Order: sequence, then C-alpha cells, then structure tokens
Amino acid sequence: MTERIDTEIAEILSLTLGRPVGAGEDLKRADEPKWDSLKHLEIIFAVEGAYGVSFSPDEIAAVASAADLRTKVLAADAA
Amino acid sequence: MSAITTIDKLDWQATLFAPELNRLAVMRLSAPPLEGPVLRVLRNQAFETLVPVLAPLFGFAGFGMSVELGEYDDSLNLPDEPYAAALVWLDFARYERLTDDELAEWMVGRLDALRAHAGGPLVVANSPDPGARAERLNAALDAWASRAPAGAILRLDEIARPLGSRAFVAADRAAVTGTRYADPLCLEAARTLTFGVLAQAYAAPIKALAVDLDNTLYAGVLGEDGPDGVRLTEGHANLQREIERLASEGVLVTILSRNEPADVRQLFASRDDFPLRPERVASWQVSWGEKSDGVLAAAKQFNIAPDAFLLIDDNVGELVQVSSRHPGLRLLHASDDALATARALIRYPGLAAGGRAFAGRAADLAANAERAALAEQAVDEDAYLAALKAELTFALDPAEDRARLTELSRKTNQFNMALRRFDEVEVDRYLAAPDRCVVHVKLADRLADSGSVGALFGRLEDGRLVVDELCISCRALGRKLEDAMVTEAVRGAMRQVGASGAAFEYGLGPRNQPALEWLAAFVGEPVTGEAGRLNVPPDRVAETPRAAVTIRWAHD
Repeated sequence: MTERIDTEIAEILSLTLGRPVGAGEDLKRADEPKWDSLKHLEIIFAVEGAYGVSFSPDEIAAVASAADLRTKVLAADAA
Repeated sequence: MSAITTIDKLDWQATLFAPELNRLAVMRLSAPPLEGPVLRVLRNQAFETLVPVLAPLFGFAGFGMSVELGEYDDSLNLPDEPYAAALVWLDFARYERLTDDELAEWMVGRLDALRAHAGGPLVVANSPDPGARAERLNAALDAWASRAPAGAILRLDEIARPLGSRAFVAADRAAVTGTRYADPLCLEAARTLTFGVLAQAYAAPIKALAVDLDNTLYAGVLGEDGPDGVRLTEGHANLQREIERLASEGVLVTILSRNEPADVRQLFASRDDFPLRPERVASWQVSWGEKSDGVLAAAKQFNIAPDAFLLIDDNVGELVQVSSRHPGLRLLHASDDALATARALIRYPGLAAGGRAFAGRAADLAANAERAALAEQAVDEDAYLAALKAELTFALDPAEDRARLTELSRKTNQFNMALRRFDEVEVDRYLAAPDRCVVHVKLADRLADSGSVGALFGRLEDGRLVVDELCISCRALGRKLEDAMVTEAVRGAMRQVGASGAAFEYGLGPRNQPALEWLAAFVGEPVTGEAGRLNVPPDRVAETPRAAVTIRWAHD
C-alpha cells in the first residue's frame, strides 16, 4: 500500500511538474522552481481525486514536500 | 508528443467518458499542448486548473484550440485581444449588491455588448447555485442564448445538482483555490464545455453510425447462440435506446456485421424486446467481407464521406482496420460494460445536440431507390421531374432558420461553393443587413420530404448580386434540381437587394468538385485556380425555372 502511494504521488508530481520524480523521492517545494502556486493546486486536486481525501485550507498551505502529501494520504487511510 | 492517434483515442475512451472525470487519470493521457484558435476566458474567478484538463478533451474531440485567461474582471469589460470563441466564467455570488432583476438585466446587457463586439461562439457558464436568485438569472441567460447568434450556455446548474455539496468548497478554501467551485464541478464543466458545447461548432459532424452486432448491440454471438440465445442486458438496452434516439433525430444507422444475413433478419424479426427497431436501420451491411467495405457501401448509399461515420464495435482490431482505410472516421469501442458504451455515445463529440439533424433523413434516403427507378423509366429529364412532382419552397431572410442555415454552411461538403463555413454570427449578418440576403430552400417530392436542403448567401456589390456562398445538402443532389433551385434562389436574392446581375464566389476544396463542376456548366466558363469569382450570364437567370418543378415562396 505504502509503495503504491509513493509511486502514485511521484507520478502526480512528475506529470504536474513535467520532470521525472522517483517513487519515495522527497521532493521539496522550495527546491523545485516549477512547483508554483498553480501547480500546487493541481497537485492537491489530483491527490484528493486519487485518494478521496480532502485538504483543509491550512493543510493546502502547509504542504511543502512529497512527504507531506504521503503523510496526509496515509493518515486518511488509517482513519 | 505528436498528434493524437486513433489508438490513443481508443485508450483514452474509458477515462474521458467515465461517469466522473478523475484528474490523475486525465493527466496520464499526456495530450499535446493546446494550440490553435483562441478560447478567451472572461472571468472573475480561477479557471487555471481546468486548462490542463482541456488539452486531452480538445484532442479527443478533434479540434485544436488554445486558451487565454483574462484578468479577474467583475465588470465583464470587452476584451481588446482578438479571439475565436469566448467563455464567460463568473462567480455570480460576487454581485450581492445587485437585486435579482438587476443582476439578470446587467448580465444580458453585457452579453449583448460582447456579442456585438466579436464573432464566434460565446459560451456563458450559468449559475450552479441553488435558489430563486440563480433560477431567475439562469432563465434570463437561457432566453439570451436562444436569441443571440452563436450564444450557448454551459449548464453548471445541471452539473452541480447531482454533485450536491461536492460541487462547492467552503469560503475559507475558496480563498486559497480562487473559486467556490470544487474540482468535480470544474472537471465536469471542462468536459461538457468541450464535448457538449464547443464540439457543436468545431468538431467534424457525425452523420451516421455504423454498429456491430455480436457483443456490441447485445451480449453473445448470433451464429453460436442463435436469435433467442443472445442476451439483451440492461447496458445493451441502454445502448440500443440511445441509437434509436439518435436515429429518430436523423442520424443514419448502419448495421455492420460479419454474420449470415438470414440470421440477422431473423434476429430483428424475432427479438421484439430490442429497443432498436429494424425500420430505424437505414443500411444493412451484413456479410463476411471487410467491414471497411461495408462502411464504404453505406457511405455511398447515404451520399456522405466515410469520415462522417462513428463506428461502434467490440473488436479493437476491426476498429483499427476500418479506421486505417477511412482516416477521420470516429471510433467507439464497445467494451464488456455496455452501460459505459451507451454513456460514451450520449456524450460523443460531433453528434448534433438536441435533435438538430433532419429527422426524416432515413425515409428520404429510402426513397432514393424509387427515384432512381423513375429516372430510368423517364424518357427525358422533364418527364423525370414531372413524375417526381418536386416542390421547392424558398424563404428570404428567415431569421428563425439561423441555426439550420449555419449548419448548411458548416456541414455540406460536396456542394459547398466557396467553403466559407459561416458561424451563426456571420449568418446573422447576412440575415439582417439591408444590402445582404439569405435564401433558404426546402425540398419535397411525391416520395418523401427532404426538408431544408439549400442556402444562398448574397450581397450587393456595384449593382450586382455576389453570391458569397451556395450550399446544397447531399440529400438533394442527384435529382437534377440544382439548376431550378439555384436559378430561382438567385432571382429572389437579386430582387431582394436590387441587383441587375449576379456572380458566384468559389473556392476549391478537397470534396466540393460537384459544386464547381455544376458552376462551370451553369455559367459556361471553366473554374480555375484555388478561388475566384464567375459572372452569371444574364440569360441564365432570366429563364423561368422548369415548369415540371413547383416553385413556392414562403411569403406568397
């Protein structure tokens, strides 16, 4: 399950940012120039649609890395 | 990536016709970037996240467009930049200081100003909010769209209703995302905008369905299970009902099957539970030959090109084979889930929405064999026309026919003289301007009513009628009526604009050779070059049309 989530989050980041992202790679928003506010929303919406999760406004603002996305999805899965 | 292939489209079908679009699944389609005529979005809220979704949708629908987003503007100012089409994407909740009536009145006023400002489709996303205020506004928008040329409504209210609370986000989240509209509402808006609205103007029209039988129209194999053994599942019944509905609206239906013809006859005779009735089928292409040959035979029978067909088949190999022989033909893969196939057919881009096609088309085609027999028996052309009892009805500047006149300009191929492809705004200009005119022609004979078959768009230039466009539906061709039809239309148009002579504009295209050959014979001069103008000899339009044809003017 965790492996599939890592793979899909990497895929979402890769498709949104237009560059390869490895499964489990902890890509950070601050290090990725293409990860602007618009791409950020596309990533959030794609994760929400893929996993049926919902990010609050504070959570949207707080997501700063691939690891944050993974944490949110796993938390929702555990709940 | 390069252009979208036929195989791509088959792969994309499940994603793009899913009950609800999934953003990640759409992202995986990796469509080429948006290019082409500009769709300008006039908005006061975010639209950015819809843009990447539009690329695969436009690609599947077969038209290229680019998208340009205006600045946030509550006042809906007229854009300075040129564009081919516009989408008004407003959050009407921002106009809380206006009363319900003031909002409706203001919107209609701004839309009228936008309509006058530029041509092309003008699409307005209506209000998805529940309540009387939104209903009042949406009714005003509907009324505007019904009278405005090329005006259309993107019905967010209908999209939002089944989504319920999932259509909107809370105010605090809207502050972050730039819109109250939640992603499921936006994704469905993008799909409906493309397949349901823009495709009406930009996608190549589908005029006929070619439908396989085994495991497509029912579950099972006729040759093995027999007529009583094949199963009509709920999904297959839905698919048949949708085909039946399209046939009732004038889309021609061909059964295209590798089976024994006698078995197929028995199947349709014995299965009265099939919603698709055999009398709705305009062409039976049942044989053990290549399906591409069957499509070609049906296309000849219908007098249309193979690329105007949508082929529905469960066999991917056959879909690909037929499409390789007939490029441009659209494909719908009938999967094991027939409900999904029915759902895709309902939305398929290129099929006319709302029954705009001519409902009597199949009956009219069925009469062609008898017309051919009459032509063979007649001793000459006049005797043939007398036996046919053809009646041509002409109407001058019929504003109520604007949509059909536009369709004639956009959809006719073989007899489309100048290939101008007018949109509703341009047609409206010919209808309304005092130095321009439109003649609309309808045809009936003793065998069938062919309905609306011709349009002439003319204008006065230096005392002469210049026919900018002349279109005749393929339904009316082959009955030796072109001379009578055009002569009377030109005479009526000359009277209307006060002209003393006439000339035809023409343009050479891939398929309009029949029109150009007719023109050369009519004016007695060769058609040369890619485009040009030919004068009509005065004696041609001085002649009274054939007595064997009944001529009527709608206002007489």
